[in-house]
Amino acid sequence: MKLTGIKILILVLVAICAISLIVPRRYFWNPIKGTAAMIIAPAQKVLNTSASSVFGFFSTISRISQLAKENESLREERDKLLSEKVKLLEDEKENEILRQQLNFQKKNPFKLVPGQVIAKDPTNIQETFSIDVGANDGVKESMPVISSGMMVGKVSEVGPTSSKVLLITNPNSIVNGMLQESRAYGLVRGELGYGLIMDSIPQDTKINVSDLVVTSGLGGNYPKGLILGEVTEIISKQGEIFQSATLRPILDFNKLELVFVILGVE
Amino acid sequence: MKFWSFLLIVFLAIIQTTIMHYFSIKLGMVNLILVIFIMMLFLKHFESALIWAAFGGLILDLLSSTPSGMYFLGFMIIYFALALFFKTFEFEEVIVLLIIMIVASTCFDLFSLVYLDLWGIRLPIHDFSNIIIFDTLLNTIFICIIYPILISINKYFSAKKQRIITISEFYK
Repeated sequence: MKLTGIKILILVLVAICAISLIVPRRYFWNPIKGTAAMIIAPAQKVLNTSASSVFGFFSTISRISQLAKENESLREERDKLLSEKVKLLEDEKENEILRQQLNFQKKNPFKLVPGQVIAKDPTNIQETFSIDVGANDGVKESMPVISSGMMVGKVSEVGPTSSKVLLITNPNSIVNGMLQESRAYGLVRGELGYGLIMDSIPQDTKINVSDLVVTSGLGGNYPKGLILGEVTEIISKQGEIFQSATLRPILDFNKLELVFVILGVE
Repeated sequence: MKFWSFLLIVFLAIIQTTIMHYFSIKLGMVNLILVIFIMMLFLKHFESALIWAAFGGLILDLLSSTPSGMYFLGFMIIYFALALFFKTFEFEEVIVLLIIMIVASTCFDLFSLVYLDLWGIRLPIHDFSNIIIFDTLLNTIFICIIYPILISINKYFSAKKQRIITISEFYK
C-alpha cells in the first residue's frame, strides 16, 4: 500500500489521539490545547465581539415593543429599590457600628480578574465557554467565576492566555447552596439547557416560589453568598426525607460577555 | 489547494465556537465540519473529505472542553462508514444526502453520549434527546442551503479545469 501525504497525516493524528487516551490529560492534551488556544484566541475574540454587536443590534430591533414594556417595569422596580437602598445603607451603618463594638473583622473583598467571553463549546453538549484570561493573569483550575455578584461556574482548564469555564448549569456541576429565606442547605446541580435543581433540602423546610438560593460556602470551593438562582417549582413528596426545587438562574448564560474570576481574598 | 483547505477548516472551527451558538435552537446547533465532509463524501471527493473529517475533528477537539478525541474519533467513524457506503452503492439523488445527514448527525450525537459516559460524564437522556433532534434538524436545514452553493462552486471549478485542459491540448 502506497503511503500518501494524507495517509501519513491521518496516521499521525490517530497516533496523537491514541497517546492522548493513554497519557494523563494534564501532561499531554492540556499543553497542546493551551498552545492552540493561545494562537486562536485573538481571532475568536475579534469574531465573537463583532458577532455579539451585530446580533445584539438585530435582537434589540426585533424586541422594541417588549423592551418598552420591560423599561416601564424596570422604572417601577428602580423606585422600589431606591427606597430599599436607603434602608440598607442605614442598616449597613448600624452593622458597622455593631461590628466595631463587638470587634468583628470586616468581610474581605474578593481579588478579581475580569475576563471577556471569547468563545463557546463547538456543540451544546458541554456547557462551557472560554475567557481571555489564563495562567499569565494568575488564573488557576477550580477558581470560582462570577458576574454581577452571581455565580457563573468554575475554571475547568487553564491555558497561558485563556481559560475554559464550566457553568453551574453543567450536569456535572454540584454546588452547596442555601435558601436565603429559610437558611436551609441543599445541593444545587446543573441540568442540560441552562437549568438548575436544588435537592437534599430537609422536608420540614418552608420553600416559596421566587425564594433566592445562594452559595452556602460549605466545602470551601465557592465563597458564601453568591446568587445561584431563584426557586420556580417545589418538588415535595410525602414520605420522603428530602424535597427538591427547580431553580432558574437569574443570569442569562447565553448572553454573558464579561465575567470575573475570583483569585482569592484581598 | 490543501493549504487553503486547512486554513478554511480552522476558520470554520472558529466560526463554530463563536458565531454558531447564536443560531442554536433548544440546545441544537449546526455542526459545520460534519455537514461539509458529508457533502464531500456524497460528491465522491474522498480524499478531501478525509482531510476535513480528521483535521476538523482534531481542531474541534482542541477548541472544546470535551474529553480528548471525541470529535476526531466520531468524525473518523462516520467518514469510514460513509466512504464504504458510497464506494459500494451509486447514489445521486439529493434525498439520499438528506437521509445520510439525518443518520450521520444522530449517530455522531449518540457516539458523543457514549464517549462522554465512558469518561464518567453522564448526561440525562431526556435532555440529550433535545440535542439529537435539534442538531439533526438544523444540520439537515443547513445542508439544504449549502449544498446548491457547493454544487455551483464545484461546477465552476470543473469548467475552469476543463477549459485549461482544452487550451493545453490545443497548443500541443
